[in-house]
Amino acid sequence: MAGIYVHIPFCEQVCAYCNFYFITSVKWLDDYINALCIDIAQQIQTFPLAYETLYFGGGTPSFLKEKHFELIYNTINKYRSIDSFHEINIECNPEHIDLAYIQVLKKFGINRVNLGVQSFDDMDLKRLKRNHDALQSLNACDLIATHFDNFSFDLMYSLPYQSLADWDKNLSKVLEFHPNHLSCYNLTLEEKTALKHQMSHQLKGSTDESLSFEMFQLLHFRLREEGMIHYEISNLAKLGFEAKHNLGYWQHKPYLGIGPSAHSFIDGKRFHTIAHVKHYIQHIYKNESVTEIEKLTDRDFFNEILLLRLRTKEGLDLNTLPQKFDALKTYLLEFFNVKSPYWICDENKICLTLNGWFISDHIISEIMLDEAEFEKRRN
Amino acid sequence: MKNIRNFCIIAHIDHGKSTLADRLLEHTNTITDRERQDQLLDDMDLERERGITIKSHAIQMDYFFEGQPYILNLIDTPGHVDFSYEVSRSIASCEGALLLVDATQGIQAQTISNLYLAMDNDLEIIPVVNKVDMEGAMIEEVKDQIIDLLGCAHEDILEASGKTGIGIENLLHHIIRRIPAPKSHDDQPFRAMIFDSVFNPFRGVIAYFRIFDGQIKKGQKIKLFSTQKEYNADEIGILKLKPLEKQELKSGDVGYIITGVKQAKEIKVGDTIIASENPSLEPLKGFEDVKPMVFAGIYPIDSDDYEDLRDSLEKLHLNDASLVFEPETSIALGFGFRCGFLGLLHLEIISERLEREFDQSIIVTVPQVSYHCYLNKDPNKKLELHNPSDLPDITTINRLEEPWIKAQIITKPDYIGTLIGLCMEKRGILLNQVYLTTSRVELTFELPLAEIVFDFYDKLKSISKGYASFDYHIIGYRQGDLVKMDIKLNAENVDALSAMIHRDKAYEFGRKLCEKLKELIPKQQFVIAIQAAIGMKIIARETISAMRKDVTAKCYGGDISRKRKLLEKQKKGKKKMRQFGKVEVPQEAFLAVLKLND
Ligand SMILES: Nc1nc2c(ncn2[C@@H]2O[C@H](COP(=O)(O)OP(=O)(O)O)[C@@H](O)[C@H]2O)c(=O)[nH]1
Ligand code: SF4
Repeated sequence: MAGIYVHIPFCEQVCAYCNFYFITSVKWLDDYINALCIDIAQQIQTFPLAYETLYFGGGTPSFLKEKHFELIYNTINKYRSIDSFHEINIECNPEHIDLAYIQVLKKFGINRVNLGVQSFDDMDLKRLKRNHDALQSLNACDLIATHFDNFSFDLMYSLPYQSLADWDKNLSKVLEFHPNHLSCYNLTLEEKTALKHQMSHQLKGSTDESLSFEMFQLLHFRLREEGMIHYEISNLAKLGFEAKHNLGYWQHKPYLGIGPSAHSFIDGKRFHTIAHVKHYIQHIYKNESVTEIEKLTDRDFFNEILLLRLRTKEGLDLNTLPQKFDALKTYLLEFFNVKSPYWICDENKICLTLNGWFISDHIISEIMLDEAEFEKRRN
Repeated sequence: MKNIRNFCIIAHIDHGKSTLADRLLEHTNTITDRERQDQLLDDMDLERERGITIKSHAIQMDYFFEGQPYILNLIDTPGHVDFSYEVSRSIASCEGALLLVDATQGIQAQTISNLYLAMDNDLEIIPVVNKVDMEGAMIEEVKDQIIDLLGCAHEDILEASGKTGIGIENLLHHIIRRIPAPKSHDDQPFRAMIFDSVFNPFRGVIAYFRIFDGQIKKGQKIKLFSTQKEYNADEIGILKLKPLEKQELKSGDVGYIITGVKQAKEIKVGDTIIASENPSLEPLKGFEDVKPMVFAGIYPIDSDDYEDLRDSLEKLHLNDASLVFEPETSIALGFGFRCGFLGLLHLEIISERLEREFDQSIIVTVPQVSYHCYLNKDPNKKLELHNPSDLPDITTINRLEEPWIKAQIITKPDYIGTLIGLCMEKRGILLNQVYLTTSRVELTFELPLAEIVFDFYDKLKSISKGYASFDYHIIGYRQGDLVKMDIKLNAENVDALSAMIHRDKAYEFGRKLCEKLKELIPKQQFVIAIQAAIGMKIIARETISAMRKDVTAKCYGGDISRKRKLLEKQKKGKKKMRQFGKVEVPQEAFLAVLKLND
């Protein structure tokens, strides 16, 4: 199983918390799609894998019009039948969702929609500099819930000035739509974002860590009552509704990422594409390479496994650890085989608890190995 | 002999000494354009960055005046209080001094204390108002200040600009006319004073000296007065842009000598060089064995680097004899060294050099002054105390003494009140308050040295908005009510954070230190109690709550590589920390004491 990720790096506005790569000049979109199609064709030929998921991510993929989908699909169809993709997923912004657009999505066989709701509170949306208000979100949720089985809403918590009750209200609201999948991100203040700047200079409303954790717990337990499983730190789903494409990332399944700043993982190598729309287009037209390869060393790979597995509910199963890391099992067991509120280590299987998840960066960085330690411990 | 002029430049930092020196060298054709390098006399990177000359050097210029050739020896002086002894030796090697004052700034404290030194040594003072080209130049006002200070005539004061070259030629004429030639004592037994030395990895120690009596020939046997040890004058010479070897030097000359000595500590600044044959029986006056006054522990972050650190300290000691060190162990930090410095700036320079030139990752512990301790069993026997953990059992102590300084502060009248307040708060005694001019006041204080080791300069600066200059010298030891304050993390003593402190200050100090440590120690998986204690008594406490949140919300596609690298970096950061019990303490926490008011 493999996935294709198509990146649409355009946004109308800059959300206050966002540090992704995108540009706001949407006028480039047509040119971009032309270049993208050339790239898709080449890449699928270079990496002829058994692709089963297709994911439009961004940026703002809901900028894509019918003609864009047509171009992209025609390209893919030359090498793969679109029907071989079980899951075709798109990220949408609420302000783009109306019945007409839903019909476009349906026409192109899109069977999973990710809606960037973030909050149902207008003040929150304003502070986050989102491009929609709560009413638009509600309408969009409604439409999507009516027309799709498989959809997911994105929410954020630990927002400035947000109380536990506010968060509970947002959860109640979202549950009215009976989602099978939710992504709930606790606000991370990324470097060089407007929000980080404001929080350190003006806004005093940053939630303290304990409240943040209470929100995380509330999320976990409220959604458990609804039959949703917390299968990754920020993702919850009813059984069978996990995001297949994203699971692929976390399970080291191969995927092909296309577009500026997109990444691929194929044959144990990571590729990343230049993060610059104009250069990307120019290079593609001149038939020049747009990707750089990063070969993962064994140590890199080992550290990645720790990083990705421990973020999931399944955790790190030492029995499934590649054989070349056998010698490192002892190291991991030495670390985890102590009673702790942060993890459970049971018969070679290590899972972080809720407490552990919430300080997972701390724990994971602690067990990651540098080159020297890695070599020492594996021998 | 009568055509030699030995002089130095007394100036406050940034008043343009280096620029002016550079200009003098140009005017006397001592350097060609090609050799010209900005700020010629400051040849260490560190010095350049700090804009001060740490180590003094000398340079000889040739100049024709009224048909006569002259030799002008410019002896450079270090610009900071920590090195005031070296300044005094440089001054003692001259017959004259340029008093250089920035026309936009006026006279500052360091200028004054060095000026007094020069006057004590009977130097001819030539006052120069510098930077007259600048828009904000207050030439007349500054001249009035100078007249008040020196009692000289208005016409005696020169104007110059090192930048544009205004007044440089005239300045050279005045140097020749006004500064007396060295007195000739050619017939006396040889005596020369060492005013500086540098270490050269190939040649060993190169000593700079000024000959007062007699002469010296290459290859001659010489002795150092303080040790009476004998050496061979392997090479002697004068100091042009580069050293220029000579066969013979005479009284009045300034030059260098190489004897093959490999250790800076053997050749001490201020010592007198005499001849082995027909030696002089009197040293030149003023020799002092300068003692380090500020002590701190220096530890390798990684204990494997201990030997490396020792090597680096040894190398530094080779060319900086005022740095002393001996091995010590700390329960908290393991093996390291107790190091002695002339002052705080010296400490900073050394730790920076260790990190930058020698690539050492180090932890510097709380600096403290050198205390004297007397025990009941022998109240006349002095013990020197360089480390709080060496403090004997309290009940056995008869008394403790701490070093005191005499400090001069020059400031604007507006700030007198708050500055006196600051010095009082620092246990100071106001001795004198003099108006130098209507807009400049000189305050003289006695203060415990320990009080200026912590956060004094920063406070002085902020109170006076930068309009205060400060200078001091040690005046001796006095008894004090001193206690040792310990810091505990989760009830474990962190010996490297212990500090000696005056009893009246202990509570506030303890409280602030605990607060600062709370800021600097990152949250960990458990609660951390920080306590300050005197003996068994806890005087302050802070709690660091357990870490609740350290998580990345999103981890998608390409993010994985980036995320992995971020976490690997986070791990690296942790390696820089030291572990006490279970508590991890970052390097900067050990210097928390110095940052209590940030
Ligand atoms: N305008 C002007 N600036 C000067 C003059 N002399 C020095 N400066 C500037 O003042 C600063 C300090 O000069 P410097 O020679 O390094 O001072 P030092 O610390 O006393 O050696 C530098 O930025 C110089 O460029 C001058 O005569 N006129
Ligand atoms: S729409 Fe998404 S990608 Fe664009 S700025 Fe907002 S959060 Fe970032």
